[in-house]
Amino acid sequence: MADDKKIIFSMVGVSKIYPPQKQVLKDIYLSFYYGAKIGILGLNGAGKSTLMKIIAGIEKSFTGEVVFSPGYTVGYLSQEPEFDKTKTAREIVMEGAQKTVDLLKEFEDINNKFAEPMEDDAMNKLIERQGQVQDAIDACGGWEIDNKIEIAMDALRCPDPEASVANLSGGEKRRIALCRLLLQEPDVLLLDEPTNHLDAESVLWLEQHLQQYKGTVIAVTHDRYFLDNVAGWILELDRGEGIPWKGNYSSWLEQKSNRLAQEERTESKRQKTLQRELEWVRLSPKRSSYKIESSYRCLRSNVE
Amino acid sequence: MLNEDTKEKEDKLELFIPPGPRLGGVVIEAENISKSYGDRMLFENLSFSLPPAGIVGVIGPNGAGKTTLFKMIMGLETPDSGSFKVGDTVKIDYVEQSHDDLVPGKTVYDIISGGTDSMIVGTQKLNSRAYVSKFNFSGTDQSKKLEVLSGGERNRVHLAIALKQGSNVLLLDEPTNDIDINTLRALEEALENFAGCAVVISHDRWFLDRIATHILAFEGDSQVYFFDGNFSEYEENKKQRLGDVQPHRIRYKSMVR
Repeated sequence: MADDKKIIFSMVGVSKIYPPQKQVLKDIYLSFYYGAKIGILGLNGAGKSTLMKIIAGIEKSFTGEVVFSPGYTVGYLSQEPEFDKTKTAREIVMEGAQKTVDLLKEFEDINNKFAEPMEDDAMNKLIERQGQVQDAIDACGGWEIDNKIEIAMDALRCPDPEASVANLSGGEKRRIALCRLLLQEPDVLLLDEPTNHLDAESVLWLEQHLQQYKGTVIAVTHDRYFLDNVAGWILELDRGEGIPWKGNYSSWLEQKSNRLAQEERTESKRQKTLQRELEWVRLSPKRSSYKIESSYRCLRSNVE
Repeated sequence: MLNEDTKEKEDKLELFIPPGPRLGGVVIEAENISKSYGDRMLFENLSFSLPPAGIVGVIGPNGAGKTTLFKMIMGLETPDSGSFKVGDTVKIDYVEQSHDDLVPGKTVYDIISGGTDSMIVGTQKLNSRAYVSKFNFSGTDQSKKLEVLSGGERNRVHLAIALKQGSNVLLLDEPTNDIDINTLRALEEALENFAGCAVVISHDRWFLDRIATHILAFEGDSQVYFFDGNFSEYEENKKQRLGDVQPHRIRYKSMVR
């Protein structure tokens, strides 16, 4: 699935069977491009979470292969994250910025060393190292890390930074895990129901953050605005097959409704329900955005 | 007996909410409600009047007092001051968020139907299997035990139990959590075609935009705003009133002066 032409990973003939013989994924061949934003759709039990766990490398028993281009990182938000219970909320979130934290620590250590007497040679080396560390911190925006963390924790309505994670609710844990993952900035960001336990305004903030995200984002979600505003691709899982669609949720709805109408001679209730949602999308003034127009174009070119 | 209109709706919809008795002009009126927990003021001087045929979306961060408001309407909690006026014709159904009362061991079919082949839904006699299937439970799903259900499935079981009574005011606490898009769509249409008044706590913006006629927003600092319009319109209105603000952790007015 392409937004530009750089493949970040591929699934090669991936199948997954839950014993005794429930096949949830059937021979999936898909390539994913760097920077693509992909929403996964499918009924309960269609294998959405399984697919995510296979890509994340957590689910290991499957046939076929997931081939990553070397050097890329993957991060995964699970539905029920677990943490080191002795830590505070802030300490967990800080784990996502470990590299920056290490750099800042080294910078502080160097500064302390300047106060000690030393040879010129050692002094020159230290100055050189200080420059390198300073550049590295500049490059990752490390000086503002405290501010950045505070903004993210506040926007996702994380609990008090000093609260012990042992006492947090399921929703609070997920918000902290999401915060940590966003700071980590992996090349492939896997989100399983990221909007659950977030209120509407935090979801809006997350959408804006992910729209600007450099890497690939793959999300399982039932939040249709999220799928409309963030996703450039929809991957539908249906009876074990993975069916990719280039476009957002509204455009996917249009083609799905057409496809169902062709498949079924008599119109089913399901098909009519889709049709009525589509009518609402078309009538809704807020939805006449660039994104929808472009996906209509995409649809037309598919038909022609 | 069902009239033609109801029958038509039922044939058209995937999910059908049985109608209750006709609703009069007065539904529920909140007058200057204040409520606090410890030193936290959840809200103060909250007043609103529920529209007879409206759908009110209730939004706001967790912990702002949305569920507490429902419990006060149901008489399960009492306000510190102010009162609720409930119309004479009102028959309320309340679908809670926590599903603790689903007893393990029973099947989906048993718990919804009460184990009988036919059931009275509102004023109408229905085949039990047909009613249960309206909530997206196929034949095999109906014999699933409650303890193996996913969050979304439990949500649907709860809806099915609550809706069979036939009421004209629905209080739904996060019915859109954990359910798939097909069920969301079906629920949207069911509520749109529901003759009474529905008050729905939800974080799903698409859902709220499609069905809400009013928004009751818990905006922080113990303030609650009642707005005539859907979610997107409310967001516009909020921007005009308060500017373009980043979301923040919930803050409460302190009770200590």
